[in-house]
Amino acid sequence: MDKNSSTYKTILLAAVCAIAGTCLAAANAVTKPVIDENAIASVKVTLEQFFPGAEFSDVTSKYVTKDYPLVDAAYEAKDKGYIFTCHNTGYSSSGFKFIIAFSNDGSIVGYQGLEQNETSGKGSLAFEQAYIDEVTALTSSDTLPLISGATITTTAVGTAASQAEAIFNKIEGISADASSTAASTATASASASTTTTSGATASSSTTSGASNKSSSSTTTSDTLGTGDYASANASCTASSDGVYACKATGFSGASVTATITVKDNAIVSIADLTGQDKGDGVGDAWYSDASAFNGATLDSSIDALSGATYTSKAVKGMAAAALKAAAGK
Amino acid sequence: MSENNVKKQSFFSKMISENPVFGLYLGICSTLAISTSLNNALGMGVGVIVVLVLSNVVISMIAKITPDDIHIPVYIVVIATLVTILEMFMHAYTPDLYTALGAFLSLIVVNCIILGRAEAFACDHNVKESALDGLQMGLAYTCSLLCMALIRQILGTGVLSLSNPFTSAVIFSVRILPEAYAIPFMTQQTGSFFTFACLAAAVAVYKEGIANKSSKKEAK
Repeated sequence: MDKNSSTYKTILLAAVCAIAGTCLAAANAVTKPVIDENAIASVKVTLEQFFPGAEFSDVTSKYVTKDYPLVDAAYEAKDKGYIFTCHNTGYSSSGFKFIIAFSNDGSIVGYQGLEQNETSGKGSLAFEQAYIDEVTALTSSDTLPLISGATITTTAVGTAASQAEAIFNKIEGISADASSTAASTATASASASTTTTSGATASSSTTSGASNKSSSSTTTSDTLGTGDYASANASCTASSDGVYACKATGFSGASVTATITVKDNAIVSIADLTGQDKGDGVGDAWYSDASAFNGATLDSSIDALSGATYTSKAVKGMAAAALKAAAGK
Repeated sequence: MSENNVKKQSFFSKMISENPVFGLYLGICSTLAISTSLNNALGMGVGVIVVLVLSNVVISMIAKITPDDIHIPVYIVVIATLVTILEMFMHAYTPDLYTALGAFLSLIVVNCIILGRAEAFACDHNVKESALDGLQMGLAYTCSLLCMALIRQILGTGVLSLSNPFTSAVIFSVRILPEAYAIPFMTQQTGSFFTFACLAAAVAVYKEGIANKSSKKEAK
């Protein structure tokens, strides 16, 4: 055959490509099991915490699609369940990573932070034992609970976890309704947490986000007369008829003070409300507008400001103390 | 002088005077980028030697049956296949090195030394000569990388260390310079260019010396 004919060139190129392809396939067959094993080995210690002695395989490429951008990897623990590593960005711009494990019966059997730089004592609560205990009591159809004071972080955790739940539910054929509801609730509460300007609005969203959990960490709807504000250590002194100078303890021991006017067992106004933590962006909504208390009595229920549990307790504690003082209780 | 000695002298002399990095200025991108540590330099060097020898051998075997107007695509397919196979094996058996070399491992495909030797040597020499040329050029490239890495690692960190690429166990780690005397910029791009310029100048001086000697001999 003529070396310069098109047919010869085509055949030669095809032959070279075919040989190259065969060599690559052979190399892949030899190296892929080792590469997969290495990938598992690097996370095996972590995976073993959830399913000791299980046989693990990396199923990321099989299940994690672009529809689940917050899920980094998925591992199958043969005959036991699935484990997902997820990431998201909470309060800290550097983001966080966590791992969540589901057993084949749908329950969450493990949850653990892998990397996080959230604010100590606030966002970091989302990776501490108390929260881990709450999460591991849930199922793949539940929404993760929010922590008051760490709404942004826990919402971000919930959003990422909802994607892992969606994948798991899809694999196990668990009703999509439950998981989609969970995801949408998390998304809704995420948007609420980033636009927290009104205490009442924010807290009602928070409560709905955590509706599946009877968690003590969410906002309460106790009345001012029955609420537990002992930690705020609120006290009021009558400065003139119906006017009380009140003080309480807010976040991290910050002193919160206000002048509360009470008439006919109802609050007329809360004036001069300020605190040592004013300006930190957390409880500032109270300091700029406490009109939600106007007209409140001991039977009134005032929603807490999501993300500002301590300041909320301080303000509500002072209101309750002033009303009780006025009522002579 | 025996023929063997002449060959030996020529082998090592060519490694300096025809050094692909400092003499011919080929494969500079990867040299500048990955010569931050002995480990990277050695890993990349061995990778290039393997690809260079094998590609030279394969290309010398198929050169005669390859028409001129399709020889570049054919050579590229051969080189790319070898590099991808090397990449797979490094990913499997030396994962830390694979991660450290990153994209530069894949970019061996476009390393000028490999295609350059295929075009300039392997296509019109027999298998044995091509393999030897590949080995020679590969060794020269590796030595260049090691020189760069040695200087940059010692001056940049004050420590000279080498790890087993298969197990990541430290083979040796010696502090040469006190920490206070380390020059961090040597581990960065600036240090890379600075080191490259110094070594290239040294090779240029060596080449000039050889040229002067031979012109003096001719004059006599």
